[in-house]
Amino acid sequence: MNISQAIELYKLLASRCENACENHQAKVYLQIADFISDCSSVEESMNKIKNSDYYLAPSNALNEDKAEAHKRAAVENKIPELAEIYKEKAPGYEQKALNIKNSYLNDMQIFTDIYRSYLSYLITDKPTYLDEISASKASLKTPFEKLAKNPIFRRLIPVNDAGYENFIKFEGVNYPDVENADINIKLDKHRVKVVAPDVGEAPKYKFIGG
Amino acid sequence: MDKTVQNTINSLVDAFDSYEIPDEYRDTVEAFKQKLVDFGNLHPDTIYFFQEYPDSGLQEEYTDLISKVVTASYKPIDSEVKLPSVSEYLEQYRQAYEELCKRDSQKGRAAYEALFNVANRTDDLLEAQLIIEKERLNWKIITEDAIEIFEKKLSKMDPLNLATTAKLLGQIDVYKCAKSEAELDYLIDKQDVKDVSIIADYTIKMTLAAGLSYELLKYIDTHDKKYKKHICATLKYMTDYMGLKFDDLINNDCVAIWMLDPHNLDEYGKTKDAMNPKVLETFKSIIDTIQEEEKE
Repeated sequence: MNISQAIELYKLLASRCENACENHQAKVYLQIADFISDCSSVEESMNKIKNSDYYLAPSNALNEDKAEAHKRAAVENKIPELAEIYKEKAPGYEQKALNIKNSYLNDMQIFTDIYRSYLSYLITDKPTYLDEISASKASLKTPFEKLAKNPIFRRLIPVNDAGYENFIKFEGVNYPDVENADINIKLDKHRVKVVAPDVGEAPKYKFIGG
Repeated sequence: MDKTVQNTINSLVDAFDSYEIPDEYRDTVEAFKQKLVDFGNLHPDTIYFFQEYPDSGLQEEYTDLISKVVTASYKPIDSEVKLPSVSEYLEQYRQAYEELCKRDSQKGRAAYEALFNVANRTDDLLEAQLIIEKERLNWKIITEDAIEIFEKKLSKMDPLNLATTAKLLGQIDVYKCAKSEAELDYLIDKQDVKDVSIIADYTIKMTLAAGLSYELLKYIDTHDKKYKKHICATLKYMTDYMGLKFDDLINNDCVAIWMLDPHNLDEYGKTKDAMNPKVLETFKSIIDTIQEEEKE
């Protein structure tokens, strides 16, 4: 073992961290490499690190990098409240951040459910779906109208702008007029077994029997 | 106050007494201990205490303060460093490896064994650490096992049902791409939002397929005009607002299955019971007839 190997290790760690979104750790490892450069042995370098602030610096830097990573994701996911939590890092921020993120994801799920109820109402005309819509809107953490303006929520609904406008301002639906048609189809309703493909196989179900 | 409340407060207060509190934190710790006692006196009833405690901010304050005290009170042992051998150094991974061996984990075991094998490749500790770092062996013990767990679960499920598999597929991708803990955190946070999007798109098409199927079956059974109206309105909505045709639903197995009233026959839905797929041809025939009439 020699000191140049120890310095090489810290520089390798720094390089890996820099390429993997861990800039605080990268900086610390480079600082440590420099800090021990005047040591004549590995043992001396380890003692020097152990009795300095650098001993706990890598784990503190890891926490900084993780907070930074979460903050970046929050910004890109358009959750500014969450980004602020990771920026300020007030006491108990980790639990608060998790609560906010889960609440946001939950609102995304409910927003989708509202659209599905709306779609079901358009298809079937059943008033029970109107009750579902009301109940779902009431369970949102953030008001529906505010969420509707968030581009992340807009992307959840696979309709054009006119369709989205109708959804947001939903007050009912008009069915187009359709003339009578004489349809007489014989239907075979015998049930069959369906087997899903294995991962990697072609995305087709296999129907067995019937 | 109730005995349970008293014991809870005592355990939190006593935790600080396990450490040598550095001077810079002594006043803060004493003030916090008093805050805890005051809170207990204000909420002496057990049920009331545990109802109010989570929102009081005290737990967050406690977690933050105790970690600062632990970090600040740590003093390295003032003795000469004795470097372990490579085998001794790798023993820190032994317990986790033995836990992993209790389950059926092939990739996870292989990752740990590659790590232990470094002791056969060199007896120089620094050389060993360089090998571990260059070959990312201690990162692989995290990712390989996780990927294997996710892939095993996925193999039992219906890969075409994105409502149930999107999250797993996302996790596998993330663990394969991430190169560090921070990057893993970032990718997981991004994927969590993507997953909701993927599931939303799929379940909306599911709703469309199942709803249309219901109306078509009711129309076939009853010949009631109202179901024909519903079918027409739905087809028009799909065209005008979603850019979709009926064929887009039935030509996609992931979606068409939902027109056949499927029911799971096993825990994860790999095998189902459903209507005969020829029903889709019948549906198509009805739709074509309706759409021809619309043009006239």
